[in-house]
Amino acid sequence: MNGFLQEEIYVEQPEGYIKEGEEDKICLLKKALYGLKQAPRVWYSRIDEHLQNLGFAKSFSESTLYVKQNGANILIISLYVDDLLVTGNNTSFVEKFKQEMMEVFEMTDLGLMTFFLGMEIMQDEHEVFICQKKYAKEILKKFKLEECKEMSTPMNQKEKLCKEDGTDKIDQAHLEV
Amino acid sequence: MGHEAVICKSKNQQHGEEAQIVDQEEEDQLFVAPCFSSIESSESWLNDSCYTNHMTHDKDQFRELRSSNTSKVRIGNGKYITVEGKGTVAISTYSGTKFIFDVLYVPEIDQNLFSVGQLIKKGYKVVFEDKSCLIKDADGHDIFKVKMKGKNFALNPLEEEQTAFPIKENITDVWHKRLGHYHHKGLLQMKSKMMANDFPALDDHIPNCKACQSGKQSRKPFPKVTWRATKKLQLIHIDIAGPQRTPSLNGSLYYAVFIDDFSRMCWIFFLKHKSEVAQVFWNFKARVENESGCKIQILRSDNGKEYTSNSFNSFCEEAGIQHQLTAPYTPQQNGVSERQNRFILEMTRCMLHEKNLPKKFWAEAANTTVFLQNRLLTRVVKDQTPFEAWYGYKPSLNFLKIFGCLCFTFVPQIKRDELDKRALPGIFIGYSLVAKAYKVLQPQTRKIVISRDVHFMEDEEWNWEDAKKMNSTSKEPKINFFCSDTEEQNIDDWQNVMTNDTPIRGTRLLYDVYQRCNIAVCEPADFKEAKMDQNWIVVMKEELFMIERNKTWELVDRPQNRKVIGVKWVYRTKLNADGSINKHKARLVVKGYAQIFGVDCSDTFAPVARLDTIRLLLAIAAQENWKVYQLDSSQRS
Repeated sequence: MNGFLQEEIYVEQPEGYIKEGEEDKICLLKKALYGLKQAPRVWYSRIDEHLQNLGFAKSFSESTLYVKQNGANILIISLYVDDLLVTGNNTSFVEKFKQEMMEVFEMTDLGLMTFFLGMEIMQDEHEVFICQKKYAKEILKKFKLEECKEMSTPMNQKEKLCKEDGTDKIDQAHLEV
Repeated sequence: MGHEAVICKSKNQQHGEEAQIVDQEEEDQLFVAPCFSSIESSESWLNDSCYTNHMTHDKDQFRELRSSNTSKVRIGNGKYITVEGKGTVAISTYSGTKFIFDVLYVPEIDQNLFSVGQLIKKGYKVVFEDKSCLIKDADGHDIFKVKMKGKNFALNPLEEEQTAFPIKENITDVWHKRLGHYHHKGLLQMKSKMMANDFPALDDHIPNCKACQSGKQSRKPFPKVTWRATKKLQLIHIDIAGPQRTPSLNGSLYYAVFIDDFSRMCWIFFLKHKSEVAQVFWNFKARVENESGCKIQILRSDNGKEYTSNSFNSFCEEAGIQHQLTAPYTPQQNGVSERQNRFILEMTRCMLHEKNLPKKFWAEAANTTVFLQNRLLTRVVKDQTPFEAWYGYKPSLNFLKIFGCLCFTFVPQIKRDELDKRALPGIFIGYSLVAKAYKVLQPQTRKIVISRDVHFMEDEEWNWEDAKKMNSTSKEPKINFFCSDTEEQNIDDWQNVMTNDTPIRGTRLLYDVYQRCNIAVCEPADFKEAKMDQNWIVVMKEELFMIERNKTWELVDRPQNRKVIGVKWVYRTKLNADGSINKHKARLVVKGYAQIFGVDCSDTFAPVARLDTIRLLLAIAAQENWKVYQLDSSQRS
C-alpha cells in the first residue's frame, strides 16, 4: 500500500508518538497512508508499473488482468486492490513470481486460493468448486434464523392451484409487452 | 302381571275403561275363595275367575293409590266390604318389578286376589291346563306359568319356577334405549311434568347401561381442594394466557398470572413471548419475597414448555422451590389459575365494552382488573380481601374511578406557558402501582402520563371518531408548535412510562454477555484507551516502524499556506474462528474526509477485477488443471 504520491500532503504527527524536540513539525507524505482518498489509486499505479516492468501484458478491456507468456509457459495475474490472484501452467514459474512480489511489496502468500471476496473456493483435479456457505450462514445469524428448519423447496409443494382463487382477474394487457 | 306392554299400547283406551269400572263398582261382587284363610304367604296372588277386580289388602304394595273412589264390594256371604282405594301395585318378581294396574285396596281381605276376568278384559289369555295356569299376553307370549297348589293357583312372583319365560326387558330399560340413552333423571322429569303424550311408566332407577358407560363416560369429578396454603407464598399458582389477537399498546400478546394460594393476591405481567415468563418470574420472586418476608416454597403450573425447560427447572432447584406440574390435559388441577383467567377475561371484556375502548387496551384493562380483584371478595379467603390477607390492612376504595372514562390531566407549569391549556384530555387506563397516581393515556400526543392531578368525567368516554377528525385537520400547525420539545419524547414515553406492561426484551445467557464485553474491551476507541494495554502499544510501535522503514513520510516544518490533515489510530482485533483472539492490529489512518479535491487529491479511482474475470480465471484454471494462488499486501490485512 505504499504507492508514491503525486500530491503534496501534510499530516499531523501520530498521537502518542510525537518526536521529541520536533513537536512543531509535521509529516510530509511521500507514500500513501490508509484513509487517503487516493490510496487505492496510488497503489494500483505502483503495482501496475511494476507488473508491466516484469514483462506482463495488461488486458485491453480489463485493466486488472495481466498475462505473461514465456514460450510455452503462461502466467496470469488478476488484481483486486490489494489481493492478487496468480495462476499458470508452470508451478515453478508461479512460485518464482510469488517470491519476487513478496520481496518488493511485503506481500503475504496465502497459498492456494480458498477464500476470496466472500466466496469459498475448493480446487481439485480438473475442478474448482465455489460456494458462499459461510456468507449464507452469516445472513442466517444476522436474522436469527440459524435454528430454522431446512426445506428443500421454499414453498408449499402440495398447494393446489385453481383457476378461481377469489381474487380479481389480472388485466392481461398489463403483461403483454 | 307384566302388564306394561299392553298398557303402553293402550293407555288412552284405559281411561275409558277406568270410567266403566268406576260405574260398575257399586255392584261389584266378590266371591270368596274356599281357601280364604289358607296358609299361603300373603305375598302371593290367588288366581280366581270369580272376581271382577284384582284386590289386595297390603297397602304397602301400592305404587300409586287413589283413595278418592271409595266404594264397597259384595262378597259371597252377602256382606259388603269396603274398598278404600284403587291404584297400581308394584310387585317384585324374579325378573324385575312388575306393575298391576287397577287393583282395589280392600283392607278386610287377607289374600291378594288376581282377577281372571280383569286379565281377560285387558286382552290377556289365561289357560288352565296340566295342573297349572298359564298367563299369556295379547300376542300369545307366555308371561307366567302358575302351578296348582292344593286346589288353587297361587302366583308367587318370587318363585323362579313359576316364571315360564323370563319377562322381556325391563320397560324402563327399553324406553331408555328407545330414547337414545337419554339420561334417566331427565326422562323422569319429563314424565312428571307431562311434557309428552303416551309416556311409559318408568322405574325411579335404571340398571347400569353398558352403552351409556362407553358412550358417556366422563372424567371423575375432581376432588375439592383438600389442602390450602397456610402462609403467604407457600404456594404460588402460575399460568399464561394468550396469545391475544390484538397486541397491547406495548406489543404484548400474552399475560402471566401469579396467584398466592394463601391470600389469593394476584399479580399480572404482560409478555411478548411465552419464553419471557422465566425472567418475569424471577423478578416477581425477588419482589414478593422482599415484600412479604416469606419465601416461595411451591410453584404450581401446567405443563407448558416454558416451565418445563431445563433452565427454568435448574433455577427452581437453585432457589429450593418445589415445582408441581399438573397431569397433562387436566387444566382442572390448575383450577385456581384457570378460574382467575376466566375472571380476568370476563372483567376485562366488560371494562373495554363499557367505554368502547379499542381492543389494544386489553393489557391496561387486565391490569386494572387484577388491581380491583385484589381489593374484592374471594370465596376462599374468609371475610378478607386478598389485599388485606397480603398486606394486613384493609384496602381503600375511595380513589377508584371507572376504567376508560374521559379525564383531564393538569399540565405542570413548567410544561406550558400562560396561554396553553391548563389541562389535557385523556383516557383513564389504570392505577399506578409505583406512585399514588392515575395512569392516563393522552391519545392526541400518544403519551401515557402518570399524574395525580386528574379530573374525572366518569360518564363520558373518549370519542375516537372526533379525535380522528381533529387530528387530521389540525395536523399542520401542531407539528410546528411541538416539534422541538415533545416530538422526540413521544415514542420513548409511550414505552418507558408504562411501568407494568414493559416486558423484558429477550434474555441472553451471562456467558454471551461476558463474551460481548470481552470484544468491546478488545477494541479501544482511541489512543487514550489503547495506551493502557501493553498489547496495543506493541502493535502501534510495529506500525510506526513499518511507516519509518517504508519512508512513508519525512518531518518538515509546518507550511504556512497548506492545510494539515489529521491522523488517528484505528484498532482492530482479529478473532479466530472459535472466538479467541488471533492478533491485535493498530493502524494509523489519515482523516481522508478532510481532504479537498484538487488540493490534496485529484483522481481517486482505481480499477478492480470484475467478478466475471475472476470466474473466467477459475474456469480456465479448472479446465487446464492449474492451481490458483492468492497473495495479499501484508500491510493491508
